[in-house]
Amino acid sequence: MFGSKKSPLKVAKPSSVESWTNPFDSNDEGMDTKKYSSSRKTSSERALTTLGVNTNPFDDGTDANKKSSSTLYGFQSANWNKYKNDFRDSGGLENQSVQELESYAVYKAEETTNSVTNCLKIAENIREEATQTLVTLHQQGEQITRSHHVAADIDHDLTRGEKLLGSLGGLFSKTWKPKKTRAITGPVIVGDDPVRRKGNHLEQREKLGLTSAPKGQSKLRSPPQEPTNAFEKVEVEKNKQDDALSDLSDLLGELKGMAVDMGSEIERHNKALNHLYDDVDELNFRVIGANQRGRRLLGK
Amino acid sequence: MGDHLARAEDFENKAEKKLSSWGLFGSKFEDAADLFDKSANSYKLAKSWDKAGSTYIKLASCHLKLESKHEAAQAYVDAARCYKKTNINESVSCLDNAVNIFCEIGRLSMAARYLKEIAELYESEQNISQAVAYYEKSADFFENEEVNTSANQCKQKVAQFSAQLEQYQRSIEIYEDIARQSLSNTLLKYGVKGHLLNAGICELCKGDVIAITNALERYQDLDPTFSGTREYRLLADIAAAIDEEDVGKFTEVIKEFDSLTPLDSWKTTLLLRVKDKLKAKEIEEDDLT
Repeated sequence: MFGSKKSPLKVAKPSSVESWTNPFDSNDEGMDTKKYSSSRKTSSERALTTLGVNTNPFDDGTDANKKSSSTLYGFQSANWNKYKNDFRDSGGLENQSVQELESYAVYKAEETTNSVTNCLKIAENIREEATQTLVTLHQQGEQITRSHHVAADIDHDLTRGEKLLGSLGGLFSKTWKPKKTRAITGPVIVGDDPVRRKGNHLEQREKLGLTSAPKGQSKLRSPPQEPTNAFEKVEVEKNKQDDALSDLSDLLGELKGMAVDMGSEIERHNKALNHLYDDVDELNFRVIGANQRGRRLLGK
Repeated sequence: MGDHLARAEDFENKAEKKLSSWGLFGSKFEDAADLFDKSANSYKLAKSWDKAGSTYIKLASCHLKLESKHEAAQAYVDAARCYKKTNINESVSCLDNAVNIFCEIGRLSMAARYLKEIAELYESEQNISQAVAYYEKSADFFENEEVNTSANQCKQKVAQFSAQLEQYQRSIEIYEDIARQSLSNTLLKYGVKGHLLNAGICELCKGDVIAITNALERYQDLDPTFSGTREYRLLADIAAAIDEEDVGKFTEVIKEFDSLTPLDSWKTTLLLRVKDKLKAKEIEEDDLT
């Protein structure tokens, strides 16, 4: 998996103190990554570590100065350029030592983990936004229904007004009948799929064994022992990637469900708005008629 | 600008004259109302907000004399909008008058809307206790009118501020109630884990590990899918860290969660409270040993 990327992304290096103002020190990699990336800190980072600058309110600075137990697979920034262009400048992959290739494998694995984690982060952000959008759509649906109820109320009031206008006029004048092209229907409730509306639907799915089983703690959160060689480190990274991809898969499934729900809700809104438009159009026609009658009465 | 001001004063003087003159009861107030309206608009154009506000109040009293309650309420709202720029207390007072009139004439959804506006004004002034009181009233009115989404928004504000004021139980009840309601709705069900996370954080602030564990079980019964979420794992891990009195683990757990979903300021504040309690406990333990 880690070898599939041709041109790895550049790893952003903090260039100033400003890049350290994140209150959560959100390092995308876990604890392990910190250990063998500690030696590739830029000078500004080293200075900050020495000064003990720490703006994360949850950070006690306990692991700020942790050093790698084995620097054999640590990466110097000089090596980065080699890795970035797949050793093109130093004789290609074939001419590298085993140790160099092992380091390269770890670097690639780490980088893939970062990419997958970033994808997960983006998916989480999309999910947050989608949740807000769904709430707004729900609110919009309520507003359409309320507007339609008001239109129905106007219909009742207008009917009363039309009766009064009909009874006005001279003794010998022809009785006025308001023109009506169609009845006002009021809000038409378009039901959802009844199965999905049921509160106990999730429980039923759970009993059937359809919902994903609760995920246990990430294996990496408390690894049994420190990875000592490149192979173990790559395995650790692969496990991280598997976890992240599993989470990403679940998230994308949920996003699909959200998109479907958004679509069906917007469709419902369209239908409701069509009904509302018809009713308002009819009301408008009747108001015009009532106005004409009023004008005629005043003109007499 | 000066031109608008002169015109506004002219209209206002004419209106005052109309009111003090003899004339047919109805038409006198109607004419005065018309002139006050023109005067207030001119004051607004001259950006003389206080004067515009006071003129709208005079307009409202004219409408009340004419028994036009809806127009009177609307005039109070306009006055509040003007005072908003200079004098928050006056603005609140005008909105309060508008709310009372809307309640009288049975326009409860309008009343709810302006109660929410009062709450927002108090919130902007950092008067949290008053903001909570008005958000609660607003939620109540919205619920009566079955405007559930707006009611829930107001309730969430109440929960948020209650937690800040360390009234955690109240917050927990609100968040759990909203989660329960959301579960039965196709569109709102996706927000459930967010509400349960908020409730869980409030439980953590109470500091009772057994209560936290019970709450997590309750949330699982409420929403069987919750146990598979990162939010559940966060709460469970924090509970474990509190139980073990391990500040390091607590920090790591939060950092890991934050790296994917950045925590907002409200969650950060509450989790810092939890951490401070945990640290204090740790120091206490060290002192004993």
